[in-house]
Amino acid sequence: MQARQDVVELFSTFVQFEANRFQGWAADGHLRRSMERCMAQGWAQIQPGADAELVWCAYWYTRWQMQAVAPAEGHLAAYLQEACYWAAQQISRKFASSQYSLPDYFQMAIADLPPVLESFNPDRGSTLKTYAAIAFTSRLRDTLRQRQEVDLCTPWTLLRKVSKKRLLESLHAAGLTDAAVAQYRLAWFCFKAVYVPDAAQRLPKPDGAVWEAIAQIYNRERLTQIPTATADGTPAQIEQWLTQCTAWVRAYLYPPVQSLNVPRPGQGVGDRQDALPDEATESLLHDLMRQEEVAQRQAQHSQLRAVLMGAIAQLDDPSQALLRLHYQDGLTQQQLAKQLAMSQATVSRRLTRAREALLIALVQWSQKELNNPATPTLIQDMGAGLEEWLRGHYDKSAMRLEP
Amino acid sequence: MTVAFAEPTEWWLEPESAGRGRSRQPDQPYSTPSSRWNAHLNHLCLETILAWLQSEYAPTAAAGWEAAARPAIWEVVNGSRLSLGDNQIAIIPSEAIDCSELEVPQEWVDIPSWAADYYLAVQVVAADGSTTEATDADDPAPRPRVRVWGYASHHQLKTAGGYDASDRTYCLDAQELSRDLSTLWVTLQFYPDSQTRAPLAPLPELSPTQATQLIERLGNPALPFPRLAVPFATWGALLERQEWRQALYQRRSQPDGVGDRPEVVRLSDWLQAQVTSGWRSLEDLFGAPQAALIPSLRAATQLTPTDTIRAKTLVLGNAADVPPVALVLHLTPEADGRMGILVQLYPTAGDALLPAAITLSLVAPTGETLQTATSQTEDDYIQLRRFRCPLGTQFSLHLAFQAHCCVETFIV
Repeated sequence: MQARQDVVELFSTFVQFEANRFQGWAADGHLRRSMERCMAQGWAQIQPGADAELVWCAYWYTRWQMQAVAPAEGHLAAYLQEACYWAAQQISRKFASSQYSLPDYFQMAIADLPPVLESFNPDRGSTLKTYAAIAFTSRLRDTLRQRQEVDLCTPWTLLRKVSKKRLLESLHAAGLTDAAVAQYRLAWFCFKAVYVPDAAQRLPKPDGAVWEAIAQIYNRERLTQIPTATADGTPAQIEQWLTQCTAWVRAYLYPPVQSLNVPRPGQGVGDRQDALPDEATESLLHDLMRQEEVAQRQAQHSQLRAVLMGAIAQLDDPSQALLRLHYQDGLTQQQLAKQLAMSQATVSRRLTRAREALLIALVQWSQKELNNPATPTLIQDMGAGLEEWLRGHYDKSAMRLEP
Repeated sequence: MTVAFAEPTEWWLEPESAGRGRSRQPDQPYSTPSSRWNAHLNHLCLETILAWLQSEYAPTAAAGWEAAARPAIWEVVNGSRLSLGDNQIAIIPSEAIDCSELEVPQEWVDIPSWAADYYLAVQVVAADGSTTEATDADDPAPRPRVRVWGYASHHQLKTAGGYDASDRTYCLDAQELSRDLSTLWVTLQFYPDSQTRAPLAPLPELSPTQATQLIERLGNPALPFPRLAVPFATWGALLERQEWRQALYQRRSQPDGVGDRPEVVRLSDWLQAQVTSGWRSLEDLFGAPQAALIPSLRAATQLTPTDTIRAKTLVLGNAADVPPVALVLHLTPEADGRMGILVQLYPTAGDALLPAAITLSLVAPTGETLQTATSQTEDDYIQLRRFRCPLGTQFSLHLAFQAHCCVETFIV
């Protein structure tokens, strides 16, 4: 793929695919005009020597955090196209699938933009681009794991294995009223109490007796659990409700991959004057951005690098090799087990322990050198920072994302 | 294969092979297949995680309860607990594929002696990706994996988690969880004393009578969700006491247990001189001369010579120091078709006095206590106020003494 250079393009163009391959960049007129206007008015003040890309990224990210105006998410979506493409490429290489193509992975990943933006923490030292590339990858991996498990489920085992949260989300997404949601939810709750694997851990298809038993519990529990008066459910009704639930859950857990041509944020909306930032917003933004902090972070980042390189050198050879193979070559734990003739459990244990040794080195360094007692929150931040650092350190293609 | 998705920030653990070692769950009775399955998953997760912690981190890690005490918990609630030094770690298994939240039953958060410092979000994943898919009986069972994918502190659950009143769980979104398990161990090492808990309100004290009534009511195995059937504070107080929890478990899991499960006694049968097992005439029970020797009993008999009187010996617990007592019912059919009933409690032959502080209560099918009588130090008998009720009325009599209890249920 051909990476973008121009600042306006960076924040206003999107990847186009043709026959499952990168084809070019398509501009979003609205975002381009928004970007040009903001630049003309000098909203983001770029100090001499500063990297314009990073400054505009910090500008739009801060705007997005303030939720002041609409186009921020669109600009960030455009900006993170390379990161998303990289994640999709990683995953398609790792998990060869006949089911999904590169554009499918790309589409699944970019759909997760809001939670990725939300979990970004600039204090951890990596740029939004690197962070997003890693976050997109790990979310894609999670989605694939779920989909693979969902694929192996019958409708009834799927109902047993959906979380309450997802079930409720599916019901709401299906447009049910609160009263109907309460009904379906209780039927599902009773279903889970009745329909369980037998002593031999098998789960035969539910039969008439199962529906009868579920209806019985439902009719008893609804008196206390659904305060709004509803009628009794017959076994046939309960079966029909739950059959409907399986369809909704599957559709929700497993949304069809959307066509790439659906409108993106900001596209086709026309010129909206309300999208323009005002003066008050701008002065607040400048306080928040604190460009000098960026330089400080970069200094800390290089110290951190020295600490971690030292800690890695202290690890035994097999552990170093494992880290390299896992983070650099992107081998799965299973592939690692095969290559190193170890059990997968051993691979998993060694990797976990190696990461822990690095984390401990970080915590000790922070205590000693920075005179900074590591609080549990800080340890968690360090853990997340470590994961980002390891991916960036070992994976040179991730490094290329850095501007 | 699902294991391909394993990440070093999570723990993907392999249980010892099924049927061997300690992954095998001892056969214990449970009231429903659902409780049995719950116990199976919890046992698998607890033993697997415990073995991992003991071999990798802390040889002294220990399960919160002895193996024999766990079925009483898993009969009614999901989850278990282990200790790692001074820290308590709760294990909350789930079969949910989507891992979108950690859902902790309220018991593990709000019962003070059950609360933990950290809560592990655990997914049980089968080797073929589907935990409970039907397999051929001849096939060796596919080996599940125990995937620990996140954790949260008690404080996080109480402050950032949502409380769902309809199933009494604290729910914390996956986004809010700590997803790197390495940080848990490092935190425990560097900060074993960090502030993990939110303050908790103490639970109320239950009287033995209340506990007996609750156990009777919630002990019905046809009641699918006993933990949701009474207010949480009451339920928590009942569950917190080991002997009550055990009694509840026994009542639910062994409804046919010897002398444990009351038959409903049909009183109208007695008027037709039909015999109910365990219920005898006074002469039969005490022996004719003995019955005549108990003055209060003689007085009562003489007062209502036309009554039908039946008595039953009841043993409260097995301890040798709790003397058996005799429950006596006097039945008088009334002109309006109702039945007059007098209930008394006597010491059995040889004992002149009832033990002090034995409680006899009349309880409606709704669980409401209608009358209670308690023995003092010098009582040779106690009785309830005589009551009348129409045919078909159901009631039960509860006896409580120290931690022991006993219930007889009747229909007029």
